[in-house]
Amino acid sequence: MDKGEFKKLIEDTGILLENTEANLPALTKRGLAFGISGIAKVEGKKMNITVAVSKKFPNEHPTFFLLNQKNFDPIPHIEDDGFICYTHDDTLVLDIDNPAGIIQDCFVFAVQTLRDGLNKRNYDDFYNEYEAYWRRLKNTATLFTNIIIGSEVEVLKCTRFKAKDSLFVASDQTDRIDSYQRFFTAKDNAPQFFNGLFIPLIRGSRVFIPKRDTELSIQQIQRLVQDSVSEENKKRIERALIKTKLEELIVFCLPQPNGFHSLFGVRLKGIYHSKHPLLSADTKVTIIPLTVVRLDPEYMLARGGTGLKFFGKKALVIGGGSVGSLICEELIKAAVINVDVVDKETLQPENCYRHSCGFMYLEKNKAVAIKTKLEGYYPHAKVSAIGMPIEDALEKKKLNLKKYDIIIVATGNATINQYLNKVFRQEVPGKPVLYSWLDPLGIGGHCLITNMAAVGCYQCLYTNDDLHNSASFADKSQPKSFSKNITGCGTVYVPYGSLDALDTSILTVRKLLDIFLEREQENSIFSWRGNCDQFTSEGYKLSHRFFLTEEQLSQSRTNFYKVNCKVCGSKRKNI
Amino acid sequence: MGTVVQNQFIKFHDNIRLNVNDNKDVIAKRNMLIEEIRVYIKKMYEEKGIKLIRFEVFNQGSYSMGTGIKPINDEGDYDIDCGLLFEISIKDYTSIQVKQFVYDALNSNQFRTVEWKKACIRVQYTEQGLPKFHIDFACYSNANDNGKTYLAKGTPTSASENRKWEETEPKKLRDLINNKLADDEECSQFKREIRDMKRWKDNQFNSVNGKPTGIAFTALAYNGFKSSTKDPFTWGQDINDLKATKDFVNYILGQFGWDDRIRVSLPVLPGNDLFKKMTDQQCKNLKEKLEKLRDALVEAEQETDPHEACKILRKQFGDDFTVPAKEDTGQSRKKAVAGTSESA
Repeated sequence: MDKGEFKKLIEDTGILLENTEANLPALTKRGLAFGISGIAKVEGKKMNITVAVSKKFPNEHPTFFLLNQKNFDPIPHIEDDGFICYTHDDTLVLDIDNPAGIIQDCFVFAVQTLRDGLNKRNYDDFYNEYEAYWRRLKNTATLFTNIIIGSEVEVLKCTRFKAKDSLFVASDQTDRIDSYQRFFTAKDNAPQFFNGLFIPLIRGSRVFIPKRDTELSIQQIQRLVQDSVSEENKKRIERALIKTKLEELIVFCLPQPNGFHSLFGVRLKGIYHSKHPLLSADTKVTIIPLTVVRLDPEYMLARGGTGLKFFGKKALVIGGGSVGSLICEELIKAAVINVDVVDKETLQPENCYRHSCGFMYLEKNKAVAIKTKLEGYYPHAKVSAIGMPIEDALEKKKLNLKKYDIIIVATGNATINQYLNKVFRQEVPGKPVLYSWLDPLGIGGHCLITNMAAVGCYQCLYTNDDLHNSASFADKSQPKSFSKNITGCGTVYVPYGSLDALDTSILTVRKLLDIFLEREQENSIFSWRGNCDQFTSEGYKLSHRFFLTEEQLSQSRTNFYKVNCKVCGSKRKNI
Repeated sequence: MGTVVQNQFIKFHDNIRLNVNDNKDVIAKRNMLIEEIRVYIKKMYEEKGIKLIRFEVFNQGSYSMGTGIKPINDEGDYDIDCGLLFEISIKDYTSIQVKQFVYDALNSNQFRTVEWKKACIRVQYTEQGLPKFHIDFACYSNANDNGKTYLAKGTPTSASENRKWEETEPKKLRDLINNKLADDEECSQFKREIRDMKRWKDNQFNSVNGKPTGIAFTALAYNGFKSSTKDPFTWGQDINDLKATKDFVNYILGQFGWDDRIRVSLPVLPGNDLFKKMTDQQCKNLKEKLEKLRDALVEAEQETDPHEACKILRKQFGDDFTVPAKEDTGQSRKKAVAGTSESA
């Protein structure tokens, strides 16, 4: 589309009157190709509006500018150059065959933003997006934070790290301070920490809205403290400034109308310790505004989909193979950051394309590999690795089963699982235990929830004459073993693909979260079913259960219980 | 349930089932008796001018429903029921007259005895070389204007009110039982269940007094039997007579009222209460025995050793329920080692 076509398009839509070609520096600055300016009436007020597009239009949405914003009270979502922020790119889909419609519909959004602003309906957005305004100040620097948001003034611990020429600040607690090592993998000497101050502001404070490319003054900061800090906190500030050697860093916390918090900071350069600028009228100080990048778990994990609901939960994962390693990772991402993993084996080349750790952890103990990878990827993860057989770990009391909220067994070893089943029933009755395993060659995977009630356990699945897992999609009678052997006894394995392990781990973690949310409260079994072509082409037989409908599988999920089970049946013998 | 116990249930059933068709002598005798009746009636027509009465023969009772059992220890005798549908109306002859025809026709042989029963004429065989059995001939009037069928009831010495034609549906019960379940396995288990319970009652009650009738259990099964031929988890075939029996016994116990009496109607006319002849105490006694049976079934079900489970069941069902030797259960025991399909 060229300029002429665009002009005609705008005229045809009729969104603006008195259209003229726009010549704004903002167009070039924002990478826009051309624009048309005109007049629109919003709430009876005359608005000088420019509509502009990039060369990618209609694959990108149009941009609108309000040129006479100075005629009105400040309106949220209008930048200094008049840019009207009415959408985020990833929230709109455009009918690219209807450019006129795009212009018209986007204009409606833009006008709504103006209308809400004129009527002060979206005034709270100034404070919901305060950090964005703070970011526009002149000469801002970056501050990484791992702070606990509280309602009281607190001393913070700060350090500089030269690599990014930035600052890091944490609440004065060991795990928060130590997180510096996780975030920045500092190889130098232990960082030197100095003190800073955390100052929460009163909810609903109408603090000043920073203007783009302006400098802060110490008076603004002093007034901020004077007007927007509670009396109790003012006293705490005084006490802190007297008692503690405070240097130059302050982090403010403004409660947003939407329930979240804006964090923004200042660094005060050239202060004298005996007279902190917040306590004196001394104005000889340079202020560097600090843009906060939050690294605290409350912020980062809140975006993981599950929020912080499971933040304090502790999980034990027994088995760090393909399924177990994926389970551990998904648990961390779901904010279950405290995970202990047990595995005695080391990662071998033939595992690499199924295991979440991959080749770079070759020959490492699987549990250790999982810990290393996950703590590197996810800075708040707390993973403990127990690199020994689970039987030894239990015997040597390396594990306190009672401290876990949930236990996941992903050993893939039915014999060990039977043993563990007995142990858990005796040691931690009522604590949810999930068994997670695959059937071969992609025909499916299963997650058994057990130990939540007295009846229905792992042993029930093997309470039959054939010592066959009754949940399996593979029939009890097979023409040959499932184990494949490529180079000899040392490399025997049961074949399945990475996606199969992924599906099983997804099923398991979803069920785990359902347990935490009390959506699942019964001992039951869940299965996913894959494609059987490879399985049957290799001559194997499917079980009857494979052919059940989804409804039948769901209906029978609690029917695996066997009344004559030697563990949970009424005649269970002593373990 | 393990195959061992299920196999024992099948063996038990094979031990107790009565399939008269297997015994050609009995069949031959029955057919001979029927022929004698025909001959006699024809003779009445030729010699005495009595109108020729045609009749149709059909099997009824447990023989026709496939629910017959052998007597315990060969002490009792077989009971075979045969229906004679005479093409007469109830206005043509009295019930006693028709039964008299049959009595006279059959009461002519020294190797058998013929006796009057309220609902039939019974021919008892005691001939050497034959199993002990009796055949009950029930006589029906089957040519009435209203299309109904009537059973001849009463004996020459009955009170007049008991000598009567009683409306009935002689073939319907047989059809109801035989057509209750379409699936072959379910139908087989249903029949086994009736037989098993009949043998149970014979084993638990020494005398006729207070012993429920076989037809009572048949009616209960018709109403409340639920098959157990599928595994509730895998939905694959898993024929489980132990569970089916337990569920059935629980159903029967559920039919007892607050007064500890049980009532069940014949599913066809006349719809009489099949437990009416039992006293209150006898009903209570029956209930107690059923509760013990239920507890034994639960215990056997929970038993992990099939040998022990069979011992428990044998106490209830009698010696025809065999207990496999411990060595045998060991040989056919569960696997201790098997290939795995699990991995992670």
